[in-house]
Amino acid sequence: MFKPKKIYIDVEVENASFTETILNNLAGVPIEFIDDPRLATDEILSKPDPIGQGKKHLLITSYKGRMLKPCPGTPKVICCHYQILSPVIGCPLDCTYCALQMYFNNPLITMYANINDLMREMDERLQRKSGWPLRIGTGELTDSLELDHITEMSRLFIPYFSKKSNVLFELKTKSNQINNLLDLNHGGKTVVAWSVNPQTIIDKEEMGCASLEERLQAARQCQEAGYKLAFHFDPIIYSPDWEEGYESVVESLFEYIDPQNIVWISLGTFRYPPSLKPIIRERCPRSKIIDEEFIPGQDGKMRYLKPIRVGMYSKVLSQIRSHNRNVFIYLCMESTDVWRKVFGWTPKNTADLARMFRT
Amino acid sequence: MIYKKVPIVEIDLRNDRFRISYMPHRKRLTESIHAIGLIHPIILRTINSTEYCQIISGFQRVQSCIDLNMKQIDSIIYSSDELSDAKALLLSLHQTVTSRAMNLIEKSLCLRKLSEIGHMEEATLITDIMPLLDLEPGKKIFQNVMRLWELDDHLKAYIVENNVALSNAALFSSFSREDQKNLFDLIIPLRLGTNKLKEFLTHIDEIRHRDEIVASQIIDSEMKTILADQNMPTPQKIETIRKRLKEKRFPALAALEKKIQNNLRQLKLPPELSLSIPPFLEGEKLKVDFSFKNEEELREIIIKLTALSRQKELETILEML
Ligand code: SF4
Repeated sequence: MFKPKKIYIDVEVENASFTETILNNLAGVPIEFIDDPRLATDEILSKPDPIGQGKKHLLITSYKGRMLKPCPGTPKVICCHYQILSPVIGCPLDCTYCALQMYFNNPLITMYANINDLMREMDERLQRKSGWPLRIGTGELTDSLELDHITEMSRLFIPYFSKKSNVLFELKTKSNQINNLLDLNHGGKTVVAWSVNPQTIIDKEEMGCASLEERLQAARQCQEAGYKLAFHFDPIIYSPDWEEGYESVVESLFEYIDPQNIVWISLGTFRYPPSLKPIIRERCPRSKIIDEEFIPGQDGKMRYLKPIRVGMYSKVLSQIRSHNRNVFIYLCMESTDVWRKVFGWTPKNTADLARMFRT
Repeated sequence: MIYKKVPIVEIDLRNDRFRISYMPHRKRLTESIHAIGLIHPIILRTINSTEYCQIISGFQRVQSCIDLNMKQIDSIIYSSDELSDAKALLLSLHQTVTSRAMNLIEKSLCLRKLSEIGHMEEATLITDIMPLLDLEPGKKIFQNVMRLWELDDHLKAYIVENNVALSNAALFSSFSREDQKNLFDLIIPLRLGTNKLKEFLTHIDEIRHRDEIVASQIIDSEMKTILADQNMPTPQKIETIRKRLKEKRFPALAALEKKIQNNLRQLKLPPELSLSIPPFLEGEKLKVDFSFKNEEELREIIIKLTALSRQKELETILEML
């Protein structure tokens, strides 16, 4: 389990209860109190491989802005009206393709200890009505569970959401750290979601993450604890044997999991902002994932050629459908023409897709 | 420190410990010394236990004075106890940056000497020296500049003569010595501008990474034949090799574009009609452009458009989007 090399604590939050929880769970780790969080980021930024170093160091501070924000999505594609909750930013795992590597100004794993402000913000947001079920997740700017043994966030959020209506709380992970979850009263409002990939891709591109089997075993335990489950085939990565690779993921998934308990499966082929490419090249020189043919999509992100994307989606879709015809499957950040080619239909727009998620 | 005229024979001309110049333009300097004499004295340091001095700053001025057959030269002389290596290099650097712009290879040489001879810390080089050299202070740029000095000599000269941008120069240094020679042979005759040079280098770099091969395996016999063709104009050579490299880097896209172009050709569109495909095939709509000057012409175009809508090739193109 992850243990940082050092913890920087902003003196402003040294007495916060969240800080106390973190320190109790990290006894023995060296601590430095700082007046200004920039001192910690400057120190890490001055080291060789600041991104790698940032993954080994923890900063506890406060966040003055909003911690619950709509997913920025991406222009000219269908998104899903997701809400991102970010009391933690940064991740000790080290996926080749992780977009967090572009957060140059702060590579540290950063935990915001002003949790009361966050809870107030959520109360306000949940009081507002929306035309579709609200989906809130913590797994966009970190892994939702990899740090849970330190933050115990699941123990705070899962019971909180269990009493709310028209909302689903999603924990998205590539870990198998579910111990905190199993005895909680979730009220069917929490979805535990795993990103999945063939083991060969995990070995090469998802450093430090749990194996596929460990993820599916953890998912089965959550299933037994009555949780709703979701799976993200994202990023689907092209390789000469991608077809067999993803077929075996689908096979394993349905061996472990009863499809009745799966609330959604998303499919998204690997895409990246152009500025991530030099970072991948430098940090992961042996990785082959950016060597494939990419073209700039309408949203400016680099994507596989459309026929290749359509081919991959269609194949994975038919593999899933051969096991179950009903599970809800959607494409992550794709254009209407790709939707139509894959499914034969398309949501009219982002709001239309958001309405398709059921609480 | 003393100031005096020093006979040139007392200067150790082979000692270039503090030289940070690389291929400077000396013609104007020689003309100026010839016209009005040496304005700035050179800086020398005595070499312990010899009667010689080493040059700290003024390698070009000394050479110009020799060319002009001068026998002695105005000099500021430091003893070796007075001036450490680090201080000597800094003196040399300040003298240079205040008198002329330094090229990329000189900047590389200067940073390396300050590090290796002056024992200056990397952090100091980045924060204090890079701005002096007109370089944006930063680790990545620092590393890129440092590596330039290791380039093949031909490439170093090419970078200086063509004022190659740092991003392109840095790309060269990611190749092996052998590959640098091959790249030199490809690029020199084409006289590529900054953007094309970047495109060529990036394609070659990415192909070799993907296929785990070396540059000489990418620069194939077809490209070499094009390069050697005496009758083909350079812009045409550039375009042909560029297309070939693009096909190697993006084979699926190239095949798709070729298929679409074939179908477009078979549509035999009249000159007043044009059909455009969305960039990189992202999008599902084709765009038709046409022009007319009277109602009659418009009616004719409508007839042609209707005929176009029934062509099999159009259907094929639409299916490919
Ligand atoms: S698990 Fe997610 S957040 Fe962590 S490194 Fe991988 S992609 Fe990034």
